[in-house]
Amino acid sequence: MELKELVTRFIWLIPAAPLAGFIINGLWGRRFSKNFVTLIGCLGPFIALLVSIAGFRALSMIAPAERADGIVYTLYNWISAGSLHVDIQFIIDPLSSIMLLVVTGVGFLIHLYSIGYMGHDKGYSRYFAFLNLFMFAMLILVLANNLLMMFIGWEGVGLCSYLLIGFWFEDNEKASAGKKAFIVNRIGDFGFILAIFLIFTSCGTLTFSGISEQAKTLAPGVLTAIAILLFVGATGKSAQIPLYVWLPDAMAGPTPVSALIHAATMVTAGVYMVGRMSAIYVNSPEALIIVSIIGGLTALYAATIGLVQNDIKKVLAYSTISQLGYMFLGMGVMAFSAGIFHLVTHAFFKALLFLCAGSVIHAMSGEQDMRKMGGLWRKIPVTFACFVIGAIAIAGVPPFAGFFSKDEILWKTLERYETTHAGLYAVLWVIGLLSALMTAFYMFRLIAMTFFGAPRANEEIMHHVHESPFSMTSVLVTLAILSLIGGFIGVPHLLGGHNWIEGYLEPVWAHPESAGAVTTEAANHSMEIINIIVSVLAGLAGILGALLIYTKFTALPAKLTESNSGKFVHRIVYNKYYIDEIYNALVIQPIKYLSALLWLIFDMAIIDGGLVDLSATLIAVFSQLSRRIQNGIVNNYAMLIFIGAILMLCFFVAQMAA
Amino acid sequence: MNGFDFASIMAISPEIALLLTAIAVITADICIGKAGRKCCTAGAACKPEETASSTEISSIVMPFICMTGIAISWYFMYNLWNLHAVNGAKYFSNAIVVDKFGLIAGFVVTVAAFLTALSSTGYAKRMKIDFGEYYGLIMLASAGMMFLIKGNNLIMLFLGIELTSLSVYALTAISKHREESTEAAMKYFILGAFSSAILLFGMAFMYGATGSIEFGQMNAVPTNRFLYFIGIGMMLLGLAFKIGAVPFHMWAPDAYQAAPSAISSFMAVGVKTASFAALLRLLFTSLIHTSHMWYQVPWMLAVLTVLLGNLTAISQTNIKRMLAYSSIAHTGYILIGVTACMGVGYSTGLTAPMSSILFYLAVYALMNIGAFAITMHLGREDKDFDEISGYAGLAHKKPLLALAMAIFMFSLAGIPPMGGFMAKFYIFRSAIQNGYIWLAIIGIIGSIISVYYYLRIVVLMYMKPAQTEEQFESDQSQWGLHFTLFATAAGLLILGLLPGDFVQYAIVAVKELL
Repeated sequence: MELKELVTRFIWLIPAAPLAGFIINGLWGRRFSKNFVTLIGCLGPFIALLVSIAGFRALSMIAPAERADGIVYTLYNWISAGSLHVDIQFIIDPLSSIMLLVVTGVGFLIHLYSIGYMGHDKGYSRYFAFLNLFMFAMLILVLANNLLMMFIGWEGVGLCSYLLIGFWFEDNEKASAGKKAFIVNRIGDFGFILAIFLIFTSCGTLTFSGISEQAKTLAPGVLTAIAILLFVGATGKSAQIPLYVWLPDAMAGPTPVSALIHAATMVTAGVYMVGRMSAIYVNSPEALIIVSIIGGLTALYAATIGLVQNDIKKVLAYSTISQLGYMFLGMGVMAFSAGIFHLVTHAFFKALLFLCAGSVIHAMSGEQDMRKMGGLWRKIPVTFACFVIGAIAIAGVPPFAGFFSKDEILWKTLERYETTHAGLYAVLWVIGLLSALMTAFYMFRLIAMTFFGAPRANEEIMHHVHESPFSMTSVLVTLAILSLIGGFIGVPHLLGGHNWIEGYLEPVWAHPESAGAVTTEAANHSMEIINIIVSVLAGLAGILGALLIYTKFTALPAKLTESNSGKFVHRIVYNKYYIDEIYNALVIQPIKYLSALLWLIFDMAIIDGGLVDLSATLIAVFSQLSRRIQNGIVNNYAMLIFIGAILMLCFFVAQMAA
Repeated sequence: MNGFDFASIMAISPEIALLLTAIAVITADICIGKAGRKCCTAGAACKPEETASSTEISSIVMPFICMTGIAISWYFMYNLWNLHAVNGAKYFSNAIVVDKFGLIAGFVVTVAAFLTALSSTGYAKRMKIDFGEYYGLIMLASAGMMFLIKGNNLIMLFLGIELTSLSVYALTAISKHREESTEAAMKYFILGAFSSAILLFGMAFMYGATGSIEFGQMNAVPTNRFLYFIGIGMMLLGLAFKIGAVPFHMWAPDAYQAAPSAISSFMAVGVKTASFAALLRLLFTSLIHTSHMWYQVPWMLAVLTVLLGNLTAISQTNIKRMLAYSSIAHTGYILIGVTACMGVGYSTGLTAPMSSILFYLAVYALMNIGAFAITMHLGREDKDFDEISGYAGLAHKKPLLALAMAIFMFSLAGIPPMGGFMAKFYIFRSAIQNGYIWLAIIGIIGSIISVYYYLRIVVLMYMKPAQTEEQFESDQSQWGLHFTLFATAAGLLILGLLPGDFVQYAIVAVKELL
């Protein structure tokens, strides 16, 4: 049988295999031996990975022009109500095939890593069940061929995120971190739902191909409204300003969860969704500007907070927010391929960094504060080496993965400088550079504080420091290799590459009606070279600066924060600009007071007292009355039928007369 | 196609299978069941254990004969469904029509009969009603319903109704030793005879006005408008009695309460499905073109039925009686769908309301059978478990049973993701689309009222302590009921979560009728 046919027939296995793992482990996991739980838990993602690879192969064999239509499989006609037809339909097109490989590949690796990391946890089977459920929901999101199915996956991953952040729910703080993530995401989801409604009322369909066809015909105002509402959903799921506040707290979950859900896959769903909806965005320049501004600001803003955090996972969390900002910047300047490219490389190196951090935390007996680490590199050399590779990758030093994708985004931003809104894009480019500089800085600050210098932990802990088991380090090495070579799928033409990923993804994207002014090749080349040099320099400067300050001039940071103005700035940034407090004062407290007020006046007095009790009493009275009619005497029954008959016949006679 | 050729026989093969099963099951009872009982009543020397074992066998064998017969009739129905040549074809001098609409409705009816037989395996013996007649009458009633659904002229319509009704009267009275059973059956019979007379009168008038008794031939311009309209009125009245529409519903609460639960659910589901199918067939082949002049009548019936059914259900203390009123209310919802096809709706489109009625009937069958099966499961000696207050604390003693009951109650109340929600949604949506917004609003108000009495059961089961310790003990094997409960609950979830394909079938079936 031809591969395409085979894949089409078995697409459903991609989400079904992890789902089966969830069901089996979720229902009977406690009774199984640990090895069996592991087998079931890892088998699902592995099958999904195999089918995804087959899907990717099958798609590659299709002629590029026809690839955008993808491989489609309809499982079930789910809802048909009037003009609304929703099928459970899967699609593998270039975009979803790339995303599938990332989700199943990184997901499978993290499952493997979890075997060692979660080995001693008493909720082992529950952990794998939830992780499998997450894979299921994420794969539904990726494979969906219509917005409603995507929304189901979208909500599903939100649920799993909640379950896994609060995995150790005995700890109150962790449980409330889960709640925070869920509630903040609901706000974004609300925007997403409204966007779906709006798309259905204006396009009359929810399938992606249908929306793409209809998008050009929509009124500009409607398009912009849809685009912005969708983006509200994306800011929630992908932790952008102003809804990013849940992600740092989400670090309460187990570290592999942070790596899988809160770095590599789920948080990139917003980027994926914007890419899927490219037809909407390219036709709404206003929305694109908003996306790029929010993306740029988030990149810079989160990077500044990352500079001063002391919790190793918090640094990585803010780094994730910042990198997601980068991706949205790329989407906002219509560099969709570059945005997805960065999504892929980021998945590699950020998962690597998180897992390394997990390995460090594992070695340090659960310690996460970098001020209590230091001098670890001799004791855990593999983790150290992998961490450095990840850090260089994120800092954007060639030829590591992060360089190519970050450079691509910066270059596309700069390229837009020559179209309209020149000033805006220039500023965004500078912001991107600054963030790159800061990223390199805080990453190597982290390395310096964790691995170099004298140990600051007590003897007891230092004595126990050990390298992680092979099941964990092998995953680290695999991801390190990917971080090293992952960028080669998108080497720009300027550097002698083919930029394979751009060409591969190109058929998926919609193109604006009026293609912007195309500048001459020569001017482009010189600009592009400048861009590369400057961005590499920024990365190197950040690395060197951090290493110098935190290994040679160790007194400098303390001196800076001691000085009057420095102290003030440091306190603000260290406390994350007091955003949580501001939200609390401006949003949460007023809502609490308002709801208390509504509860007392509106709910208790008017609704409960007036409407509910009154209507209930009325209904009870009617009910008793109507019950009386049924008194068991057959004559009365016949009488009622007779009366009914007379009334009906009277009506017909009256009709006839009329 | 007037002769008794092979195709004609095949056209009624499902019915023939059911009728032969009725004969087979009574014969079987004579051979194995009665032998034991007779020797006891005669006072002759007989060994008690022999008696016990013979009734044991008969209480398993007879339901199995029924189920086998129904399975055979399903096979014939499946054949007819796939035989495209017969769709819409008429047989026996145009008295019988075979189409997908009829096959789907017939399938719902036979599923109800199948589940009734299945759940009677232990139940009938406990209720001391495990005679061959019990099963035979179920089969006869099913056959009557199938003829009612397939009938293509007024005579077949009447014969079908009578065959069904007579069987059901007898089934209501099957608990011979219980007084209220006989009383309710008598009431049902008197009122039923009354309404049948009116129906027959209407048919005569109709014949007088149009000169034909065949569906599809009666839509000529009436020569006598007086006869025509009085005829329509009387026929509507007769059918309204069978479906239990207010104010012709008075028989239902008494009959449902007094009959054994298995029969109550079979009556509610089977009679309603068959009567509605016949009503729809009559309407859409013969009467719909004048409906702009009298759609107010079904409109009024629907409103009265929804409101009165739901309001009266609230103050019931007996769950079977409550379910009877709930069944009346559900008739009202379906009548909303029927009304949506008339008047202004006639020109808007009939596919949506008609297919939603078929879908509703299927969902209603599952949830009603399920809810009644719970009262059978918990009952002891020769009683059903029908006091609402008795359900307190069920969830703590029998969590799975309570879960199943909760599914039925949520579905009856129309709460997603159960099938009941999708069913109501389709009905109300088609009413709105066809311009009957007020009817939809009244339906939704009725539905809101109904939430109260359905959820009361759930609240009792989950949030109140049990009254006594051994309250929920049942002493015999109930595997038939277990299977029924599982099948209905699973079916409701499937129809609620994945309604698409079923609705497509309904649409295909309905398009053929129009």
